[in-house]
Amino acid sequence: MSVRIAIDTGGTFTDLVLSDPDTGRLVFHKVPSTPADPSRALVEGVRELVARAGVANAEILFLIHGTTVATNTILQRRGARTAFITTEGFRDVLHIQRQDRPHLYNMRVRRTPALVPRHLRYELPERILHDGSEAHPIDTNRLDELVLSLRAEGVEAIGVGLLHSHINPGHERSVGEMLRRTLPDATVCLSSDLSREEGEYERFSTCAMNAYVQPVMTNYLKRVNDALEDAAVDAPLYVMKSNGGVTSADHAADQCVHTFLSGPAGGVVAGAEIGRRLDRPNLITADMGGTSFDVAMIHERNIAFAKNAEIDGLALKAPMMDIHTIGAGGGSIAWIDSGGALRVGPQSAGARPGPACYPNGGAEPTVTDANLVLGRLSTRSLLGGAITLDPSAARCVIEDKIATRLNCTVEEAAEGIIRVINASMTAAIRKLTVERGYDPRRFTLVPFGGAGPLHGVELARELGVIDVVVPLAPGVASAEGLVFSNLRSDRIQTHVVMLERLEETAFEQMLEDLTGQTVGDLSTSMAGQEPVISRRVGLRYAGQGYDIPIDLPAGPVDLPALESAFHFEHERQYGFARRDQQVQLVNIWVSAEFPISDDPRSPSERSESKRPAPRTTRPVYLSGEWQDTAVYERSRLRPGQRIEGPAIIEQLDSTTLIWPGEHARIDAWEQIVIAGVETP
Amino acid sequence: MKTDPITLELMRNRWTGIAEEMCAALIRTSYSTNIKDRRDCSAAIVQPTGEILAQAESGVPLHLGVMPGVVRSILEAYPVSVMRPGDVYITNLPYPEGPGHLPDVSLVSAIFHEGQPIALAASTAHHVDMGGFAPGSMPFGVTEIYQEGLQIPPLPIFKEGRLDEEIYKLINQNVRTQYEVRGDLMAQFACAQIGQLRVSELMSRESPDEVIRYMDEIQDYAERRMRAGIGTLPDGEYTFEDYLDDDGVTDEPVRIKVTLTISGDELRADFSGCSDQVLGPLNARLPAAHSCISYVCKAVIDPDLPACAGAYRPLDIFAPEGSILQATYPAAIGNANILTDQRVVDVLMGALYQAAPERVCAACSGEMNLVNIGGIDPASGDYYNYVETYAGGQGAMYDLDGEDGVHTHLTNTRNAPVEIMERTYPLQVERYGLIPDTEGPGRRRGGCGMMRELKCLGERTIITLGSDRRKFTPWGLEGGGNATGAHCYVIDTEGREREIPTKTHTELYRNEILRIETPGGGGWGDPVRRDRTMVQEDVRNGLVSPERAIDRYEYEEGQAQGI
Repeated sequence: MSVRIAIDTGGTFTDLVLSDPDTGRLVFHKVPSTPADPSRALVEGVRELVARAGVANAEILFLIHGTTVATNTILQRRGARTAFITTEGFRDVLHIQRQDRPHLYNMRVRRTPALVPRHLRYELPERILHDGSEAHPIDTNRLDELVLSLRAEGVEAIGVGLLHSHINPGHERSVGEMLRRTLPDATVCLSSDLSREEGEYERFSTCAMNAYVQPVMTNYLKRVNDALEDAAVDAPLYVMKSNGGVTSADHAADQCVHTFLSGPAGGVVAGAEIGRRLDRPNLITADMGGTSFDVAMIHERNIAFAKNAEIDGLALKAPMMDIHTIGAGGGSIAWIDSGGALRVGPQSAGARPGPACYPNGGAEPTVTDANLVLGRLSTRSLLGGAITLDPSAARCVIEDKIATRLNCTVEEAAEGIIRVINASMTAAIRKLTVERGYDPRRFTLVPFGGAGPLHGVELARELGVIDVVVPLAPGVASAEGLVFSNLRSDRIQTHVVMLERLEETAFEQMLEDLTGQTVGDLSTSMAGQEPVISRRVGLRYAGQGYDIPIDLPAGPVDLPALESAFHFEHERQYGFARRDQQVQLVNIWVSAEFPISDDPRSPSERSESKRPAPRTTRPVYLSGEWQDTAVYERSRLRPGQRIEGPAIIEQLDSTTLIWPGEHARIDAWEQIVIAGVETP
Repeated sequence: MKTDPITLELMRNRWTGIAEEMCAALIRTSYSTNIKDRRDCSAAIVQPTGEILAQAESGVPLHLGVMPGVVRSILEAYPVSVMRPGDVYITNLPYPEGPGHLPDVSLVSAIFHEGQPIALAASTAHHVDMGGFAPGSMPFGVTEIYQEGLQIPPLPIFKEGRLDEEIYKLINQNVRTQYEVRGDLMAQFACAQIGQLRVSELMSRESPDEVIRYMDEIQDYAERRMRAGIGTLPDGEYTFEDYLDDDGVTDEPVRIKVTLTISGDELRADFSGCSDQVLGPLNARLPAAHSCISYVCKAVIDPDLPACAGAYRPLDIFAPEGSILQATYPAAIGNANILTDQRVVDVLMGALYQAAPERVCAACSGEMNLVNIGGIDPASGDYYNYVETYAGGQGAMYDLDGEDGVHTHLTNTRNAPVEIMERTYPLQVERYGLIPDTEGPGRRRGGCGMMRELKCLGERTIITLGSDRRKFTPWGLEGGGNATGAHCYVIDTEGREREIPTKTHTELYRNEILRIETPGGGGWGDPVRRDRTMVQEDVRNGLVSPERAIDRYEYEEGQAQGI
């Protein structure tokens, strides 16, 4: 019993991977998604995958699921009828948000309306102060009246967010108990159960979001479980979280705000796994699909986390990886602005109507059209040729809309489109790295998604990144990453105090408590095993607004060492330190991990020295001229083989482009390594 | 040589990226609330001629038009030819042109490549304090810039990469928050360093000749964009006027008036007819009006208009010397950017309404409601200072309601979270929320104003308020109603309430409550024609009372369909 199955639900396809660490076998599968009820595609996919791989249901150890249900529930506003109870005087916190507007100059852009309308936001007389002391007890008569209103309104879920509950959750817990007793059918969420960070809007928003989504998520995961049971699969189901770890289905439903990145997180985990295999601590993952480009960073083997997260314009405090998304993909539309410059995106032709070269495609030139015109994509590169692309449609639209107006050839226009979109993607990667003090030249780029490997080398060249590694199955990298994930929980506690006033024993106690809670999130099924604990603190110079995370090594706390680590890091990121100034602790972060997944694949010991034979040759437009380019089939490439650019490597759902003068090598894991990308 | 539109776009992205990265470094290392939270700062790459090439304006559009003047005044005193690597020049002096008021400190330095100055790095940031009559250096009750704070004319503050401690001693002695001011100056220095570093990288990666040639191409491109945008507005002369309630010294209303002339692809803004300069600190220099116009062009024409010198070429701006928008030294200037400039935007919107009604909004709250509270924290015995600007209602557009409780036009500050305020200052927030019935009624309604009640826990608490629009409330358009204006109250420990002026400097005693109410936004169109379901929703949500629904919207229960 060792087989693991990963299921990643996407908008168009549900990707599945079966992994058997005993044999090192990976089996990939794809079925059309069923957006109305994603569990149908999930179960159908599992059934087909198991049959294809020839394994028995009893051999399945567990399933890991990357789901978009939480995100879609918010985006489509299909959550539960939700009420919110807060401290008297503060019902509009969810409405006012942080009082700023989303766009500085566009007067037509409005804030995202609160998930709970004003008439369902109730105020309760009570008050806890900032030091945790009680200024006013809960007005229980008023609470009794509230219950009557909640019942009359027929609410399905209730969020409770009271001031300073991150310090003292006592009032929230009393209200929660009372509501659960009197309204047993309603879902009740407390802000302090979801976040222990300071800042009422972000915590309340997280709580309202959880209450709004939880009933939907619970239902969904129950349907999945029932359907799996019907299919005679009784292995446990884990759900991928935004922190790159997995959790039990029950826990995922209760804390559904932790699953907003459940889908894309897998790709980043896959990138981290590649780093582990190749012993590279610093990687950038770049996922380029049809409409969006997602980048994330792995630094010193840790996936970088986000400070302030948002979903659809609503704030969220939950440990989540920092995935920076811009509107750039194969479907991004090229246009000429009023000043005569060539622009690409953020508008996208999406999957429908899609690029002009698609059957029944759109009327605007896209990045995919440009790639097709330049010969970088073949007419059969979509879904292994199941859909045929039309190069003449692509040529026509680029000629009409771009080349004629720029007075250049269609090829020049198409190459320009690629250069401009690459510049946007490079800028996105720089935002994530350079703006935070990380030098991309020390990183390895891992491009995936359908379009990533086609653009990867050019991005790397632009960024000065040295190596590019294209995963075995770039189109399903997110699903592949799921099978490498471990059980993991993260907790963050705000605690603002000057380092010099911090008492070591009290601090140790606080760390211990937080560690206990974090492990408690996971340990039900892991009796007897030891979790891997990592701890971090956020530090800043007193008076600054942004803290820098500093790792806390295992063992007793060494405050002077911590302080000098902070000075060092501040200097590294910003070019100066103020060693004579006071350092302030802002928060504590504990992460607990139970390893459940080993890398299923071991490096191949055989190395093929024979040069691979190209399947065919076709002209590809590179650096201003048509060049005869060898086209290889990925599935025929063997570890050890080398390919010299210019070359194209094609596989079911992705195309890799090797530029002239560059060398690619198939490594022992069958990954394409393009080393030593030259920077001009 | 032929301009390649693809290279143009790539170069433009690179320069913008550098300016944004400079600004990000400044924000992340800063100490002043105004910089780290309000993002009241900007960073720019400037051509050696003084023309802004790329500017990152992160939170406050006010810096857009001011930066060219900052650079000109530095270059006037220290031409590029005398600048050496590592030299950085400082100024905070608004006269004859420069930053908007004394707390805004600008640094300018040359960026070198192979010994040649090829660009300038510039930054402006709103520091915590620059000395003067009151903490924060934006006092009311003053009539001269001498009272407002320390004036720093253009001076070299860093020499060969090191802070000039002798000059700095003078600054340090004059500011209240020495630790923060020095920290923020270092943050601006870090910003300049990033600029030098990134430009060096760019020059060594690309052909230097091409990089330099495309600087001018970017300016021409921006000019084409702006001309194309202005060209979409109908030709004509459009006049509009509005008032500030008073200048905080006398009770006289202050007139702001503009005549906009659009002819073809050029725009002239003539501010003749504004009040003469006033005694109170509401005066400005012309670059402030320039910022307002740059903001309005982006808001009304195209939010994506580039922020560089070329874009300003088709603009012509005039205000008579000695008027409130072109005041003569040493007129007090400190609060123009929170009050006067918002009114300038209002009149520009009012004038453009006549040209393109569907592109503008009715009057927004029209001020920034600055609240500055200071005193001794009884817990620590230390001096504290809390500054925040409060949001109000947004004006409605022809097809959209205004947002409730949101920052509009020239400001976009995030609020101070209640939990952080209460931990940090001897203040307890009693209430924070929207005020029903403050919207400007209309077919599309304006946004509601907001209130905050602060209980002062210190022995004596010093309050400075800077708000407006009590008398001249935010106007509606096309028959939409005016919104409710700003009000400020003190509630004593007996529960008695007294209204205090909107521009004031006063003291509160322990457990007294300050209640700030901000204006709503004006409505659009006849409220009687408002969709009945929308009125019903407003009533249900308690933002419009049943009485007001009947009175202003002629709404009867059950009128909405499906009830």
